[in-house]
Amino acid sequence: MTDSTPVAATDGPSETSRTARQPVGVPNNLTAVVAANFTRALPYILVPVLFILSVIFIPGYFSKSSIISLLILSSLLGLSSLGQTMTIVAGGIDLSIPAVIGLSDIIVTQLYYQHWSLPLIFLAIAALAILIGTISAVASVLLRVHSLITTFGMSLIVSGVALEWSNGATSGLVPGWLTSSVSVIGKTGPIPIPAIIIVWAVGSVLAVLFMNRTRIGRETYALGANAVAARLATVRSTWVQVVVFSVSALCAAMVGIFLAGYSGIPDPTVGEPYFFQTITAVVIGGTSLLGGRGGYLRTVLGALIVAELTTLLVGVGFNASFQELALGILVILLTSSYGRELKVAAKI
Amino acid sequence: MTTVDVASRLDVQDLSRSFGETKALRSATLRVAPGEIHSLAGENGSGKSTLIKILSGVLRPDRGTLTWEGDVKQHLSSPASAQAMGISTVFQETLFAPEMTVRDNIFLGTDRLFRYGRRKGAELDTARQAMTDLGLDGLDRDRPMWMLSLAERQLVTIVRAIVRPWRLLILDESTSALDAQQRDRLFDYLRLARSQGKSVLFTSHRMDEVLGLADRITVLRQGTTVATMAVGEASRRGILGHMSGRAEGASMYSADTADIVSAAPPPRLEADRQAAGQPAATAHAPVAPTPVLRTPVLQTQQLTLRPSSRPISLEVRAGEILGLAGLEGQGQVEFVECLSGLRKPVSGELAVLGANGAAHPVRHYSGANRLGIRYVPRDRRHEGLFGPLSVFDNFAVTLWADFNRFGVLRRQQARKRFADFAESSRLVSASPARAISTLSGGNQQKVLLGRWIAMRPRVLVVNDPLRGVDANTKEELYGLFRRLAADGVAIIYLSTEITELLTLTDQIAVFHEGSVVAMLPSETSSDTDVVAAMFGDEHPGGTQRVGADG
Amino acid sequence: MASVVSRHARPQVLSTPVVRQLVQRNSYIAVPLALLVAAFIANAIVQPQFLSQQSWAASMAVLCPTVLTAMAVTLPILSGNGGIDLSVGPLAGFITVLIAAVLVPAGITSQAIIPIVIVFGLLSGAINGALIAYVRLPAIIATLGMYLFYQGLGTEVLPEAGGSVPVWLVKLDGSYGPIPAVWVVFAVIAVVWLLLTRGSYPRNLLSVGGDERAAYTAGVNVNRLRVVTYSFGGALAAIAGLMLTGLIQGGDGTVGPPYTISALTAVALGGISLAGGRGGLLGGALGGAVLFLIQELLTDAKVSVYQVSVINGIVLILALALNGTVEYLRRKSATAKQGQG
Repeated sequence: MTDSTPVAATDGPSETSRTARQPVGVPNNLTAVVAANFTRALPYILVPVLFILSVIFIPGYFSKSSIISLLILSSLLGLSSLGQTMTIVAGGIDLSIPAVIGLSDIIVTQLYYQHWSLPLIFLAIAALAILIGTISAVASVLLRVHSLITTFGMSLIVSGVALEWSNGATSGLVPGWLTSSVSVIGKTGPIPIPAIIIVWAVGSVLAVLFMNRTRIGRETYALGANAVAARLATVRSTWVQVVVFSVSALCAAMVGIFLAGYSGIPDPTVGEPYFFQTITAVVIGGTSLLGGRGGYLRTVLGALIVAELTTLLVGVGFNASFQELALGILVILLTSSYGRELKVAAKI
Repeated sequence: MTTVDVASRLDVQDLSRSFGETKALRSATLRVAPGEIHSLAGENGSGKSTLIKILSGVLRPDRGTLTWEGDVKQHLSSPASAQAMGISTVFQETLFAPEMTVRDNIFLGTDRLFRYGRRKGAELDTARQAMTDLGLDGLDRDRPMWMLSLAERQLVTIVRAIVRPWRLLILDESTSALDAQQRDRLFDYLRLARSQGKSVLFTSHRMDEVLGLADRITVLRQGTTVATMAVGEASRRGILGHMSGRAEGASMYSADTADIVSAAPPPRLEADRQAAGQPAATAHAPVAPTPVLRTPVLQTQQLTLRPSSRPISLEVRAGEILGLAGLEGQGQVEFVECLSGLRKPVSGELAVLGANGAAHPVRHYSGANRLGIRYVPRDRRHEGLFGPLSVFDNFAVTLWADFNRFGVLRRQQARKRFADFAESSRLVSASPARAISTLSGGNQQKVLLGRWIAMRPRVLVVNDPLRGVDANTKEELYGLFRRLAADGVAIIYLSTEITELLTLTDQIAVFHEGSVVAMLPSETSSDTDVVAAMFGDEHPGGTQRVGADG
Repeated sequence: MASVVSRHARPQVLSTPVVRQLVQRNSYIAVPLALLVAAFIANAIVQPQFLSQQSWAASMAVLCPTVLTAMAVTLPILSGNGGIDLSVGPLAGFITVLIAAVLVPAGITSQAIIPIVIVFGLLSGAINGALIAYVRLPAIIATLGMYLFYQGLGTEVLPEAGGSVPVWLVKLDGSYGPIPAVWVVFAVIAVVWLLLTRGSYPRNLLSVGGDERAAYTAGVNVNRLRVVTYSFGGALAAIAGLMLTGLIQGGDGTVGPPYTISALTAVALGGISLAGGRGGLLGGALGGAVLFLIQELLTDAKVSVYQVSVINGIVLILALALNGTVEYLRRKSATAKQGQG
């Protein structure tokens, strides 16, 4: 994602003339080419580099438990960013993820405490998530506003509901297997890896396939690339929005359930850190906020990078305040290297 | 290359500019003298726009020099500095701030960031004069730009350029939205400016404009200046030849497309029909069997576009190419929008006729699509292209609805469809995975046309599809349209270029004040007949009747 | 000869050009203004003491940071191209820390604090603007980074709320005689703003917001305008922080985030489109006032804190719907009047 190539050039090389061209040898603008490829590869490079830095600076880091810990963190972030990736590719954004995470956390702890059956709880949460996503999508379309503000409004509503529901509730209950699914020592059947990592791996594959191999996936890219042209090209714009925002809410709900397993107590604010982390993971992965480009594979990298960064900052001994400070600076620095938008001149 | 020895206002030497790996300009040379109208000619991809952007301060060259009125410069740092030097540019894309008024858009950029006080009377007078010169004197300057028509917007951007003190005016395809009358007024203004010693540099794909207006012509090909000549030495063929690199006089059309035009329906369409299975009621495969001879497929009954206009009742037959002509804003665009379901007429019926003659009314856009009406929008950049996506994605977007199994794409089939289309439209592309932004404008247009043609239209409605496309690609696409018509597709072809209509279409419906005032057979009509009808003469060739009041 | 120009309705008596342009450009405040009046009346009905002088001054003091942060966000949004400033809340929060934990302990307790704070805000905004205009980061990311930065810095410098503030600052949230001091603050800001922007700045800002390419090719220095715009926004947020310090009578690094939330809500209530190019500071201010009045109303009605959040969200979406409908009607009626061009 570079800024040296104009988006819609009317001056590409002429296709119709057959006259001899200059022989393709060394590209004319070597530095630009190298820079472009480097910036695209940077997320891939950062993942191992940050890991190595962690090993160097954090004593005892190179152990199974810290790696699993890192992967759990990445899984939580990766899953909550799954839907976010889709909404961003579609040209929108979902600010209601933290709220849905919180609501889902409350629901699962409270309802399980009240002896609801698990399948029923999951069904209820899923239905609610789909409802929330659909309302966000439909509101954005009907009101003709950017989903930033509609999901923002939904987050106020949802977080208010979550807070109200949990008002005074200090105890809740979660099934044991849920706790172990996010625990470092958890197992999935015979595999000594906590379930959440498996879920993330499977989810990642499904997400990438979904966006590249299904009709809705390609329509998502078209919608994000050019909403007007998409409508004219018979892309089902409203349906795509409903789908991506529902998926986003479902993923957030799933993360809320896992986080309930993490702590065991109802906490409607448990999703708050994910407000900026999902956006950061997507952008650091290299997907553009403009829409129409990128994909979930990049967000996987982004989630790993953000998780590694936070782990590094904690491990090096920074306190919470300093972590936040450092994260803010790092986000700016990283995005400055490869998340830059086009110059005005290049858009003409 | 003819070297002409003239004292020059602008002297461009050996300019080059690359974008990543693409060399947009290799060695551009240009000389514009004072009191001269200079045309810059070249195909899409020749570097014209890049050169203009450099001259306007939007881009910097990698190498080369610009000499402006004797001062040698390496580059112009910004549009503001170019304007300060006296260079005013009107870009190909009409740029304006939609919520701001006409007045604000005219004076856009003339103030510094913080400027106090009211605008001086002299400036307002210049603006008023400019608007009168271009025929905009009736336009309310307090109106927000979004309310203006395409042509009015383009004219306002031209006014914006000329209200500043300018000595070189650069016009990049700036007449694309204007009708004949508006163009003539502009050209009169340009000639007047020339007589005052000012210089004009313009690009246009319309040969009549180039030959009719320019004093000298510079031809670019693949980023290099290949020819400079005075207009007296130039011929249409010669210029086209320089632009494409083919020997003077040789036309692509004669060699290859003749085969395409005369060919019987190619095998792939048959195979596609079989592959698509049984014909469905919702037509991507038209319900009708291979149309034999000219059965009517589209019918309007008493279609009224405006409260004051006459109803339009006509029939379009399979394999017919119906042209739509008219001065700007006379209803032909509204008609096209009604046909494609984007707009509801004031009254009247519009229907697609099935095999048994059953009429299926057209009610809205998706309905029209289902009936086999495909609309190719006019504004490629905003209504057609998916910039970041690949060529294949841009092409196949309309195919996914059909080529999927429970939502999962059947890419093999789509790829085959693309390969077939690329071959038949001579789309030269290294791989369909390329970003569409790397293609030239003409090839982008091919892909976009392909998107709609791949859906096997019954009726193809095109709105100025070859605007801004270079002459050689145009020839290729004319062949494509003719072949489609031979296959039985009805084509509704709106164009602002009369020659194009006369050569391509079977008959031309001329619009005036929202009504069809004449249906002219293309073979036997002349330019003048069409123009006369555009001005309201319902019996061109008869008494010249001045059109309704203005 | 057919006229190529669209005809327009014969102007009516009231529609002199000046009036028409004023109405056209400012029609976006119709809905927020109506909401403001409605909320005001509702408050007066539910709690009659609302109009009393004492409660008036106190209300204005609480209102002030909300309105100022809303205005601070409005400017970047107007500049278009995805412009926004998420850091306004944490910046205001950090200013409270700056005053209570840095300036006052260092001995700076006089009104000299005011220019220091304003310059800090200008610089902070300039950094945002530079990141967005020159480094070309997406505005969400750049201001999100600054959000985290100020949050971290604020709680790092002052882990526990506290510190001391000079008396004159606290007095700013009281009254000078019958007039709430806050009004004086607003008046000063209004005068400064009007002076700064009497000329071409608002036009340039809205043009850039409308289409930055049009502005750029016409010769506007788009980058500089963006930096200036974000700087103004930063200054407004800093003043919000100043007033907030007087309100909470100390420093607290955690008070910031709710103000970002309220600022965004206020912008939606104020009829400002996130796309930019249309609207003005007044919209942001009105939106902030409406939001505040709604909070007051809900508090008086003894609605629980959590339900307030829900109601805010619903009101936001309703406001979007209302503004959207008005916009739609405006466009519809305008095109209907002139026929097809």
